Amino acid sequence: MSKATCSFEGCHSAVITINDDNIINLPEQVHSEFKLLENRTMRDATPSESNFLVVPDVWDFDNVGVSREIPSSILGDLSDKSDFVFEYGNSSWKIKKCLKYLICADCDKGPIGIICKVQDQTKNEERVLHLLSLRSLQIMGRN
Amino acid sequence: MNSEYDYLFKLLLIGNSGVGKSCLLLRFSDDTYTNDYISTIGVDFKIKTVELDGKTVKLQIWDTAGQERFRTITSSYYRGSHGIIIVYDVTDQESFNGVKMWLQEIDRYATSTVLKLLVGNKCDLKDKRVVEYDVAKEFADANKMPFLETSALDSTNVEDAFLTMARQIKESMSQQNLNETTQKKEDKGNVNLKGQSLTNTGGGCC
Repeated sequence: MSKATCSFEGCHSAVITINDDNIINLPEQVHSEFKLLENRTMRDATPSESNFLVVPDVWDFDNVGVSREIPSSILGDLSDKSDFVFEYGNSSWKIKKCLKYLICADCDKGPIGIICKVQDQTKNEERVLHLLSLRSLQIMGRN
Repeated sequence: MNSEYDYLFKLLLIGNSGVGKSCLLLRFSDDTYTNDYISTIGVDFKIKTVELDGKTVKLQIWDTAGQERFRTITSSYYRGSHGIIIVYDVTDQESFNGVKMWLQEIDRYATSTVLKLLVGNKCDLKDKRVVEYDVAKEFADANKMPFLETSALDSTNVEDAFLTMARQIKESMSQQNLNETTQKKEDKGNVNLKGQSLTNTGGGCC
């Protein structure tokens, strides 16, 4: 299994062990919309999609920091972003609201992900998920 | 994803403003890339995983991050905490004097079983030191808590502070479990009905 670590030289804090089944794709503009950190070695690459790791439980992280609630002055409203939809656990989920940021626990770099309120597109039920941006991190030991 | 762990402890960092509480949570600092959004919003808590005597311990560490300046730390902040790290600055006498007040806050809001650790930060600033090690050690001993001096700048004892706290809690829990087991053995033969302890004294069924 591969590990996601902080991409900053001198830090490389272990963030999480990656479960490939929980990797999802979101549109490229998610990164700029949520003002997420770009791994410096990947800045030149502009893939059309961004890989994120869905982390259902905060205790799944090895080391992570969680910010306070993000004020609307920073991110604004998401209600018109109908394309922020992803498939996870046999359902289609839409990101409704970005609640908090995830950061590196050991050097405070970030945001490396978001904690967001998502809505099941068919059942309309809502839940909170942690979405870790793999593009903001270094992936160690990937086959 | 590995969510398996043996222990999960909630820790608090408290102390006067400017003593370096947040710095204790940074193992590596490089201001060149610090994001403005993060600084503005502030950090709620951090999760750190440590290995202790072959066991995996998850620490949820809460930092007051400036609230102490406005005396807005409420009882809810202390609720459910297993350990509290009280931090002062060895170059600031006022911050050491403030430790007494923080201990009163703990007595007021935290559970009686909560474990405490006193940490004197910025011990690398030797020429600016005003709080001597022996004075702080004596104070900590009098208040029955361990004491460490740290330097977030050169990482002296920083990891040790969290490990000391975690070990203390783990040992305390083991002791609690031992006491409960002993209690259960002593209670064998006793039936507890709505708080009444009825000892089974004789043979026979009637």
